[in-house]
Amino acid sequence: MDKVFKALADKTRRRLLDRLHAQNGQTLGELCEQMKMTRQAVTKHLHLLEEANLIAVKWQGREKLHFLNPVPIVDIADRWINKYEQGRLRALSDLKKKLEGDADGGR
Amino acid sequence: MADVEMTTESTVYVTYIASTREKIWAALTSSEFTRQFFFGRAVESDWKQGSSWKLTRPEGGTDVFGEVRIADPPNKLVLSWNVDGPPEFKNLPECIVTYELEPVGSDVVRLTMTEAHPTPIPKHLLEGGRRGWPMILSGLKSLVETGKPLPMPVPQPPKEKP
Repeated sequence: MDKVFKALADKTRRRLLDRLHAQNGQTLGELCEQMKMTRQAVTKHLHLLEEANLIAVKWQGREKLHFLNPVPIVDIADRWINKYEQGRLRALSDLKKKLEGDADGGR
Repeated sequence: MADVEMTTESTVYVTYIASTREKIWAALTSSEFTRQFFFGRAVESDWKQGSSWKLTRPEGGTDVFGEVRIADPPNKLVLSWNVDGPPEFKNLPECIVTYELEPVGSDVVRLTMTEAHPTPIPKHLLEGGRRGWPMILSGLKSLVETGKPLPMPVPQPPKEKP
């Protein structure tokens, strides 16, 4: 669980997850586009995300594809949320999203 | 099809479970377990290659049906997946769901679930699965590791009073 929090505590890594959320199953080359950093730096971030199991990797022929894996985030939510709160929290979260938009403002 | 975004993308979800492959296989293929982590739904099949399988809603009625493409217990299960629901789902081409179970060390199993769409489908129809699958896999992990289902809002049949 430490690895998940550490991996998420970085704007660049959250951005990489956002990009996979928008378009799942991308190669390293595709993920490097629009990231203003070296290929090596992106590789390092992806490695940390993979270590935290937030990214699943699948080989398709000679291409290594990266997939967003939200299961550890659900595990974290499950730990502190019980079934009676779930409905109310979903409603609050939906309301917040509606009011603020979906952008990751670094909050 | 003008403004419907189509995709052939796959989904890959991974969870690490402190258990054995045999127990996880049993959880994936028996209704007494799936009722506790698959939104109250029951699986049914003899799990032989070429056999049919289905997922039944708690209130009755088929939710998903298909064929067992590969059954290699406790390593790999490949199912064709057809949703029996509203017309927009019912008319979708079938997709392929694969469960792979690999041992990691002596007491942990890596469970990978892959959903592949061989033909393009509208992207917005994937949203349900994107929300549902992580909850299902997290629930499976909790059930197998602790013996207790997660507090998911699973519809329960009414209990008879003693």
